[in-house]
Amino acid sequence: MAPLLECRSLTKLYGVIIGVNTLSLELEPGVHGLLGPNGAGKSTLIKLITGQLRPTEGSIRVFGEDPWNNASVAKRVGYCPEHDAFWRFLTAHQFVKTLAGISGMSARDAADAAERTLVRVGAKEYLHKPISTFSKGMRQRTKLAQALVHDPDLLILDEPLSGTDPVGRHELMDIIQDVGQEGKSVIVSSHVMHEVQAMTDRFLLIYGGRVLAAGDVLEIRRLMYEIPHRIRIVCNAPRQLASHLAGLESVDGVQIEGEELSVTTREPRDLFALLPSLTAKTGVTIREMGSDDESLDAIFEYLVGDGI
Amino acid sequence: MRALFVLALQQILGGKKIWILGIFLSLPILLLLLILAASGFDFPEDESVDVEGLSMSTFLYVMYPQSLCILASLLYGASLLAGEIEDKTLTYLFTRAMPRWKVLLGKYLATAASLSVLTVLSMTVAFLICGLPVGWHVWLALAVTTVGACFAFTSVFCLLGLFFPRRALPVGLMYAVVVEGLLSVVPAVVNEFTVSYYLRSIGWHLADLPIPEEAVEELEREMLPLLAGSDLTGAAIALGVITVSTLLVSGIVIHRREWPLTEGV
Repeated sequence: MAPLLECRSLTKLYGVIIGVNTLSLELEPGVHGLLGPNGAGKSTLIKLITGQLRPTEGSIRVFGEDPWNNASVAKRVGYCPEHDAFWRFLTAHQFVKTLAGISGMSARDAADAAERTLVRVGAKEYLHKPISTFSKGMRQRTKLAQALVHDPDLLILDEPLSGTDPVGRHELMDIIQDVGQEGKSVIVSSHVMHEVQAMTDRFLLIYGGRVLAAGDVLEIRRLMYEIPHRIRIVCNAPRQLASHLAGLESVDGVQIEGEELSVTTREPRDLFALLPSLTAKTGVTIREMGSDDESLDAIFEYLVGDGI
Repeated sequence: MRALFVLALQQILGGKKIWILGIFLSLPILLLLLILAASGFDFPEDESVDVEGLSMSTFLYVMYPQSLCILASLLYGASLLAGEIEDKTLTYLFTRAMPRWKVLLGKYLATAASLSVLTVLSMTVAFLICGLPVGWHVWLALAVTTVGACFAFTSVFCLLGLFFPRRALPVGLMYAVVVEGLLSVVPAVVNEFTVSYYLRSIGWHLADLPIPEEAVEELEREMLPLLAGSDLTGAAIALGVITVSTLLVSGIVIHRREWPLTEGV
């Protein structure tokens, strides 16, 4: 059986700008998170998978076939684009029904499938309302419905959770997980790690058009663990706290800027465990604490900096 | 392709541009009413040779196949796919299990057919207001050239829209004025590459206007080779070739070209 996705030295150039750079990978069916900061090459890879772009060099196969202008691949793929584009004069039902019809369904089947799918994504209440009146969250659901309506084997979602409220986000995550549990494959792109983590434990980290790492959550967490974390602490006696922290084995360095301490550590958990007893012992009051390094960008910067 | 056809119809009837089309379609009728009001509603009394009837026929030809059809086709033809590119909705059409040429053909047929029906309806109203100038065969000539104009110009403007998606309207307008307006009446081979030249030929032959013999001779000797020099069959074939070939080039363009609709990498 052909793999879900197979790329061999895949390269896509936009003039002198590199979208995807000699990327080679093989994905098996399942739910995969495509992670990377803005400009990493996620959207280019997705456009190559959905046949909107042709590789400059190398090859890409989806279900064993070249996706460029390939109706048989398109029939098996559902695509939810990142951009907020609609025929806004249509209702949600008309929009999804139209795209089901263009996918080859009869008018009756398309109407039934559109209603069923919109109900599934939680759009029952605004089924027959014009899209022009929708909030961002409602539009995201409608976009997801059009991607699901023809029952594809592979669902590709480009930043599907952007602009949704926390409740809507949770519901959409549940739907995407359900699709995976039905045995369908999903590739979901995001630049927010915890969002993707809630849907799958299989990641593909992409940066500068290259795959930096691919694997499950434990492998990614191991990479994160190796990154020196920078923890920001705002307290009433920074110099006093700094002198105590500098002596700890888990702390690599401390910097003071006014009332703020910037602590570098490779063992953030150990540091967090020690802090309560340290503050109790010294009488220092911590007003604010946070890590600047929890963002995905930091992981990528670290990986790229190490020449991976 | 039915869904696509319905979508194209909804885009014409449900979009904001329908108001502009409505103004275009009612303009000749209003103009005609104004002219008739100014002349005291002095309708031509019979269908035989009369200057007034011939003037009205010429007026309707200039208003419909020569002007309104160009503007209506420009309005919808230039944005046939260029509008989808601008609105980024082309992604939905080009990532479904429908070949791109079918997307083009479905949208083109729906647009050209809808414009034909609407313009012929408007022309018929105007024709009836004129009091059936010359006769029904003139209506037939006007209807055929109106439909031919809608199909040919929609195809031409669609192609222009693909090459200049962000400036489809100004480029199309320039084409309409320079090529179809000026070059089509230039007494050189260049006028034979315009849609208007063949439309005029078809209109002239089908209308069979009852013009006095001496006037016909003078017309055919001096004006006709310039304005409508092709015979009916030749003109119909040439118009078909222009329409199909421009549509074919559009098909090749959309088949071969990539459509990265978002700026992001």
